[in-house]
Amino acid sequence: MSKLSYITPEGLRIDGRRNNEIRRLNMKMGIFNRADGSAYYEQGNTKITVAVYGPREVASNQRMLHDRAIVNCEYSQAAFSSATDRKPTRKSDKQSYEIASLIKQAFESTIQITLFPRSQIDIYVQVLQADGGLKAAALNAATLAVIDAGLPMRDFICACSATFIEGVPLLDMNQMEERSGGADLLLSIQPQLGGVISLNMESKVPQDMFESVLELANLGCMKIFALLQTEVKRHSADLLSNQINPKS
Amino acid sequence: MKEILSKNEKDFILSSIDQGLRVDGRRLNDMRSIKINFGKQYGMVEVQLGRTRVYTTVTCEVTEPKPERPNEGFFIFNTDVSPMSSVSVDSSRGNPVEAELGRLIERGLKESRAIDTEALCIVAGSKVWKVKTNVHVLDDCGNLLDCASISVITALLHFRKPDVTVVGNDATIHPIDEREPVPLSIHHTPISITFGFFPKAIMIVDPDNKEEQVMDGKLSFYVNVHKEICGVSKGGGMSTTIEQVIKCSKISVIRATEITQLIREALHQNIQSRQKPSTRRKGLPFEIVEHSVPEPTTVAGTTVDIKMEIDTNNKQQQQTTSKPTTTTNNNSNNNNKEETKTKTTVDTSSIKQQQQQNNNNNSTTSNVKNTDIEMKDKKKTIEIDSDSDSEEEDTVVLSSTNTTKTTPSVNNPAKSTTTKSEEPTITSKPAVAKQQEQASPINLDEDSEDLSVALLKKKPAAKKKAAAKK
Repeated sequence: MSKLSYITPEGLRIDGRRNNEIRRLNMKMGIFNRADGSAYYEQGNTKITVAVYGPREVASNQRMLHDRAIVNCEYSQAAFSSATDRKPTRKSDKQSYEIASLIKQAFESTIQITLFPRSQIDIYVQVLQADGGLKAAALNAATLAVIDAGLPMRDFICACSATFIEGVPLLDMNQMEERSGGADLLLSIQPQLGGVISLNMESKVPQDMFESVLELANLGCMKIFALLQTEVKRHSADLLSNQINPKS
Repeated sequence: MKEILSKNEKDFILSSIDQGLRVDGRRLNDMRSIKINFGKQYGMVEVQLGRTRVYTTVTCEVTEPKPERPNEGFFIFNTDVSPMSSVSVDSSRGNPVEAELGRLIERGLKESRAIDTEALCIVAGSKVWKVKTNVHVLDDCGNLLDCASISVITALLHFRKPDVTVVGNDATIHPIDEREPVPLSIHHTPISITFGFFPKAIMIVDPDNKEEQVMDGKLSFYVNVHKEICGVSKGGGMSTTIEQVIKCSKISVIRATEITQLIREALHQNIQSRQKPSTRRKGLPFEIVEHSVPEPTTVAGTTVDIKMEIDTNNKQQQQTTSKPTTTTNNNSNNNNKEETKTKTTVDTSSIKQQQQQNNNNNSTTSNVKNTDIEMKDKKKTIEIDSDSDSEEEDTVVLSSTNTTKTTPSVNNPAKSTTTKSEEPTITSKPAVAKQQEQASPINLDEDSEDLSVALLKKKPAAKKKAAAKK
């Protein structure tokens, strides 16, 4: 394998970013009419749509909880989503199940599910184009969709990935950087309450480096939060103005 | 079926933890005791963490490699949470606990490059080893992940695959009785340490069953002795702060070091006992030693300490590492053997120097070796003849080198120095012993004193047994 330098001596990455810069975000809320809440989310070249249904009746009585809602998540990557991964089955394989489980756990702790006993909240995530940072992007997109559905949450969920390549901590990796083999840390936080919701890392990192990578991921999450919040406010203002002055 | 905790129990546990007390009397940062039992064959380990029990077996077979990776063997992990482990396990449905456990362990070992698949290659492109690890959860009393991770890494370290000779494209696999089997190539030993979170930013290490049901969230760190974090897993649950996470990472490194030492000692002891099956007689007291030269019990401990030194790769940590072992011992229900081994707090650095410097004292050679043997074996069985002594000298030396070799991948450079220093040990061991005597380690408790005294005075069996029972 050719020696690809992920970060030039000047500190620029493959796509020209610095080590502490996230990719460009592009968001839209309320893209589907049928779903209770939906969102379209782009982070660099990664494109994800999320639809949220709920609270609604539980599909099977066995799983119903008497004091809270169940959060159910399904994650799938479209067959055309990745140029490099050419495997056909994408829906129920292990990786999809893990990411769905991650999203489910994160939202179970953040959505106020005790307000909806005996109900079910479904979050469906569909990846249209995959270019790194899928789990983080899925969490962010799902946050927007859940807000669009009007479900009360304790706080936003902002997620960001960070890694450690060639001695430099990098924020928000694209697919090539992810594949480089460095540590892949996924951090999701509640930005306003200031807590860590989920933290996952594989691969080896020395402990002192771990702290710096963690701090960097935290920084990335706060940046993403600022952008998410702007979008939510803009969308809400839009909805309000439409109601007051309905466009034909 | 779910296991439901009554409200009273929940309130009790929460309010105790609020005051810094845990239901089983531990402090917030204490782990439960760890017991490691080995099975008859290589690669069979049962680990008890408190009352949680996990049994792991490692087997191997020869198979064809994947065409796109002709040089790599396979490591397959299979997790089985038995319905007998917990009320809430339903075998008719897929168990998410099982899947997650398997996934975390597999990831922790594979992604951190602890296990080397390329070392499993026999004949590139046609024959590789497939190492299958089966994890059976027998009893779920909290913190399955930690117990399973200890069990898996110990089993992988303990496992020996048959020796193979490759001539061209033909590989001959030697049966175990013909040739000594070969250990796997394990680069480092990641251990999982799990923390539980409670309101008011309280955090406990190693939650047990009831605490798990009551806690807000869980955070697991996979660390190794080199202070490298090989994996982090926190899913859902209550949010914690970044400072807490960093604090946990530091605690987990300390705990992992202790546990790794424990595993090494247990492995060492077990390998020693396998090396001399003919002399293994369980339950015989130490008094059979006929050599009355005072040999402090710390001799074999030296070798262990040296290993520990190598393992920690930091001479400065010598004292501190030996101290944690004692606390580990306090925490763990170790048998006497392990206790005596770990109580040695000798400066192994000084011993090493002495080893290299002193090559005298042949007179005490056989005696030293005997104690070496017995301490290494920790079997309370002693050899009798001088002839057998000399044989055992060789075996002792060989086995010591073997044992250091059996932990090859942990610290390769350090290991080579150990073997070098130990190879000429026939003469240097007595020096070691002597130095041991002179160093006269601060025997941390009466057990080791009893043993050394026993060696001196050939105390009756009763006392020995009493010491052993401690």
